[in-house]
Amino acid sequence: MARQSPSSSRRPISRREVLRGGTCGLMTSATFLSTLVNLKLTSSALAASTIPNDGNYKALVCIFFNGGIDGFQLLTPFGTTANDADYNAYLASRTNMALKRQGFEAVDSVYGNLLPIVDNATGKTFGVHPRLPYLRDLFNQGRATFVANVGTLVEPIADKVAFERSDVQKPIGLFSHSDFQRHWHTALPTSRLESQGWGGRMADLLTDPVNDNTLNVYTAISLSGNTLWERGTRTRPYSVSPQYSNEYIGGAERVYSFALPGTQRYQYLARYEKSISDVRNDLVNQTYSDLLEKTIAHERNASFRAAEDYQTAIEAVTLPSGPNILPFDVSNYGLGGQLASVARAIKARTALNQTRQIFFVEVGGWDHHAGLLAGMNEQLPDVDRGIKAFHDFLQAEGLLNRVTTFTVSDFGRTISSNGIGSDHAWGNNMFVMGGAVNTGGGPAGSNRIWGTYPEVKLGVQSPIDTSDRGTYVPRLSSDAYHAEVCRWIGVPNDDLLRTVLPNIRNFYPQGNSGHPIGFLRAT
Amino acid sequence: MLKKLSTLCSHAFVALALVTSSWSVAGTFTVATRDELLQVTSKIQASQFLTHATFGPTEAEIDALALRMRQIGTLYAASEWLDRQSNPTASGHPGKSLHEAKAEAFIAQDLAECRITNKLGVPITPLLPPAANGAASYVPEVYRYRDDAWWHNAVAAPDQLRQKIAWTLAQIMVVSTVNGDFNNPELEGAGVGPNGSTRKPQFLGISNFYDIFVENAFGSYRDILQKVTYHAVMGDWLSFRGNSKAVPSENRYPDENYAREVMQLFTIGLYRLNDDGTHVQDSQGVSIPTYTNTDIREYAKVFTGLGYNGSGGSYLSAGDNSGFAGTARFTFPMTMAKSQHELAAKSLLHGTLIALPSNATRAQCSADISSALDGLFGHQSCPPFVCNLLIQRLVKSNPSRAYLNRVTSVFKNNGATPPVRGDLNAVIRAILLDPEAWSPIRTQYLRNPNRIVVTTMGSEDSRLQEPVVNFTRMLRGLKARAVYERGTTVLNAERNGVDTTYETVPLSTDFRLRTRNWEFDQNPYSAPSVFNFYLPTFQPAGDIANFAPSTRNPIGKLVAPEFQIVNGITTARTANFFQYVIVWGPLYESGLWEGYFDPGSPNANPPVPPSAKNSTSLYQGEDVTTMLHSTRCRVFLDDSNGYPSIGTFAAMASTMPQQVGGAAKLVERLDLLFCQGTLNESYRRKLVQVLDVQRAEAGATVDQDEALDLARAAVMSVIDSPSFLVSK
Repeated sequence: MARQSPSSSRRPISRREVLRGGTCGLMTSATFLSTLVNLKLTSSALAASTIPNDGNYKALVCIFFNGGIDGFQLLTPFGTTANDADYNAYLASRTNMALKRQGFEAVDSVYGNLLPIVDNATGKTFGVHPRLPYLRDLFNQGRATFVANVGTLVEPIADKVAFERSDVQKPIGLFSHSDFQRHWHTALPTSRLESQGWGGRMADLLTDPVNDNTLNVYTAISLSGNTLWERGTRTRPYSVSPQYSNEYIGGAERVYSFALPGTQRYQYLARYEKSISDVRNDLVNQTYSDLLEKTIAHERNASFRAAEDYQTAIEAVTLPSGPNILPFDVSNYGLGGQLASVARAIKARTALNQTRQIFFVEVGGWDHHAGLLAGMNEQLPDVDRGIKAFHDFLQAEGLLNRVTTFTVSDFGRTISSNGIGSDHAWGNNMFVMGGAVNTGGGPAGSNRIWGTYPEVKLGVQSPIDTSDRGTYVPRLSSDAYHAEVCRWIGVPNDDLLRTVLPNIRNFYPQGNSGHPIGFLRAT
Repeated sequence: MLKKLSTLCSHAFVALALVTSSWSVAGTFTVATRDELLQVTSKIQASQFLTHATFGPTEAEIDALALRMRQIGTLYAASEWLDRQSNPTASGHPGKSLHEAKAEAFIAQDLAECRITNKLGVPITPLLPPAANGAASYVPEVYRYRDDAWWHNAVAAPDQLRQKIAWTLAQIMVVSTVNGDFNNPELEGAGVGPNGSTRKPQFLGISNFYDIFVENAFGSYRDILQKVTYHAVMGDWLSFRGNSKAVPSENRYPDENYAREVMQLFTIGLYRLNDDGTHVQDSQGVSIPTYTNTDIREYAKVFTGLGYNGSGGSYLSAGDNSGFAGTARFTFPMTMAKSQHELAAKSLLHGTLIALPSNATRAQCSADISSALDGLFGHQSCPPFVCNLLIQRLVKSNPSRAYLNRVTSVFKNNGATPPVRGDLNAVIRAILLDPEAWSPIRTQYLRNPNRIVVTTMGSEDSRLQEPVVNFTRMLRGLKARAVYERGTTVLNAERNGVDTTYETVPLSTDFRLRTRNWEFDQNPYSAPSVFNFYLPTFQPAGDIANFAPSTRNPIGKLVAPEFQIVNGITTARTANFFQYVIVWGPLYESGLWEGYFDPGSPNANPPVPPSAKNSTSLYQGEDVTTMLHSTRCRVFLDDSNGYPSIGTFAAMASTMPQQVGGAAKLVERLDLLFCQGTLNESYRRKLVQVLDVQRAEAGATVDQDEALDLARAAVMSVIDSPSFLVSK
């Protein structure tokens, strides 16, 4: 007997799966399918209006750091003197988790030394994590920036005093992974019942309900399964695989015994496979009085066809290479392989017939209750290289102004150390990459950090610390952060934006023509 | 009971005589004689019933039950089958998991520190790349052993009904290893366990939780609720283990997580329900929520003070909070730390629990919890809420108001003296023997030629099957066998530097199957959240959401929960996986090391000495390769009749006549086994036509390869059919 399966179940085991078996409380994206009622916000808006599209491609790429990445290690105070007050406060608060500055502190040969950057808004020098040298370069080139102390809010909370008032609404499930991840996906932090994410609601508006293909299959692509973020009324995540190796380019899953009739692939099928394929191709031509049968038949047929078309499109694509293009590192099941798949989909956009797309990629393992220094030291190079390779791809394709990449995570982490790591907290520092980054209008070659980077102090010394460990009230809401990318991709600041982000009016008045934070400019 | 059954019988057969315009012809079985007519009719009913009540019927089980149905009547035979199913000993999960762990060369004493060596003293470690956070480089994938036990019981345990009910209940009171810290191989607690019991690895906690459902599948829903509430896995999962009373001066209030979910998901749901599942409405016609946020805060006070059970059961005394922070004890019920229990009055849905005195006893504190659970269990919404979920998993997605009403009345009162509420044995019988569990499939006998026409009722009377259950249906239906390379696994384990004795694990025939999240987005112990894999009210967009159901439907819309995990990638991967099993089998399900450790590689780490590689002796130089392969499970499908796989059907295909409709009999047989005789008529026509073409290509006679190919196409296409995926 016979032949072995070409690839089948013998797929490589991803790092994500390895981690899933571990003990560190990781969640996969499928975790977010928790809801009881459908949000009905979009359906009425949808029928009347979608957002005009000039046909010029635009896409958003969301990088989700699962587990709560420690943003106060990504971006730290630095200063210009050995006794810089901001850095000293950081050092005193983070104690043994604090990263060091070469030239001022002893060289750290294990975890490296902070990489200084200058914020042209405050003139202050900040430190970028030692393992993010490419990101530092991109900041200096005006291609990336940071957004400080952003987090999930229902309404603005000024400080710790306001936080403790019972009449101030707070997100439910404060600082629990499941709740704060769900809030991030849904932008509805007072509920656990949502079945749609803001990315999906936005994609509903961005796509043409009449002329798009029936499932809008390729509009919202996920490298991490059925992500809630991309679920809308019509929009659903189309799951594809990352590239795991140079031999395996990833993408959709072709079905062994399915080929579109008349295609070359059909000629290669064995006799029984042809029979199976013939039946599968005919699925939608049968009569089903049971709508469940009809729905599953059509769904399967559409999926099988979509995989053929998707693979045909991305297999025809070659990613650019050259002396100034850092190749994706697809060897480690990390961000590189996922962004390589995103790059292929973007390059195949014409064949896939897409002018607006959203992508969801996810890297886990950031819940560093323990091993914070070693963990970030080990995990960030993959992130850094992935961002850089993706940037180089976009630049080579002339798409830098057409694709914006933004990062999110469950929540920030406590400033104070628990001895070996940091715990769940709130406000966090995130970064954004793309040609649309607004460098703030300072001198040529300078760049700006957005939001208000807090004084890194604890307890009574900090007006925004809700604990004595540095659990900062976010001064920027994730709604405003999300609204910024929504506005950039084309959502007008009217009821449509509120459809996507129901609480946005607590942070960003209707009709305001500027961007809610300002870190992106129109491109 | 007899009287009740006869009523049901007549009801069912009245229903069978009705034909309405919404019915559609599913298939036609040609029969030669009246006896064959009765046989086929009974087989359809047996197949339908067993598809509801088990992880999938086999032909032998269908034949046996069908025979009995002809002897004593359909419902009597089904009832007898249900009676018999309470006989087999419950097949449990933690012990089985531990057995599988041992079979994979681990000593259960302390998996994390265990070092395996072969007889030459070559250590097999580390197995995985170093963990990113600098933690121990050795991460045993212990979850596999739990999965092994679960799959084995689902596929092969004799107590099929019990296992099916347990799986159903586990999808109501959900815990999961996703986002839960339940994969820890370390032992729970310190010292010996309570009452001198053996300490167990923590990863068995969630299997232990699952066995609440196995052991109480025919028991009381109220008992289950109690056990679930006190289980430390639930305590950790919904963060109320270590939940302490309010300390207003510190701005600290009880965690509301369990308070919310026990109401929303385990007992009463979001809206007040009538017995028939319709919403109770106020004078404005608006549905009435069962509880408010204020209620949740009151219930949160109730679920305070529970901590890990300590050694000897007396671990927690007044002022002793160590159970809150102590080492996990997942296989013992949590105990009450009275010092941490909220003493203030609690205003609950069924009344107020008065404030407890400052010297309240542990029993008084625990009584708060019992009272709260009593109240939720006694709530008017609990029976219809729970019954709807049970019916959705066992029979159909959209039970009618009448069906719910009948089952709910049994939940409220099992008919015993004195009456018992929440008797699952009675409820399950009511669900599976109800006319509505049978009426979606009707058979009619027509003449010239003699034939049986099967009709199905359609959209309101079916359900999309879960992928996990589709897999077990396939394995059971195709007579899968688990095969191991060797008769015995001989272990030589070294722990903490001390060589331990050999341990011999007998040959396994267990179905040690891998996690299937990759293909299905569904796997035991792997719900993405407490909201299960899918929501009971999920509607896929399109036809189903737009369908206006009849007034029999209690909520005015058609739901199809299982569609929530249907997407482009799961449909493709599941199709490929099933084809892999059917066509390219055997399915190789690996031992722990596959993918990480190739002892045959020149770069193997650790290097394997040449003497070990070539050794054939078990006791003088255990070959690492052999040792690893001995733990590997291979799954063969029915390889009888000289065919390497799906032999029964290949044998039938070898005599398939070369004529139009020649494939019909093979398809009919598969239809009975996998689709309860309801294979969609137009799909069937297409399949038969395609198989006829394939048959014609074989020429005058069908050789072995051609027969196998015909069987592959037929089996795969039936497993692939909407009628297999949507059962009636």
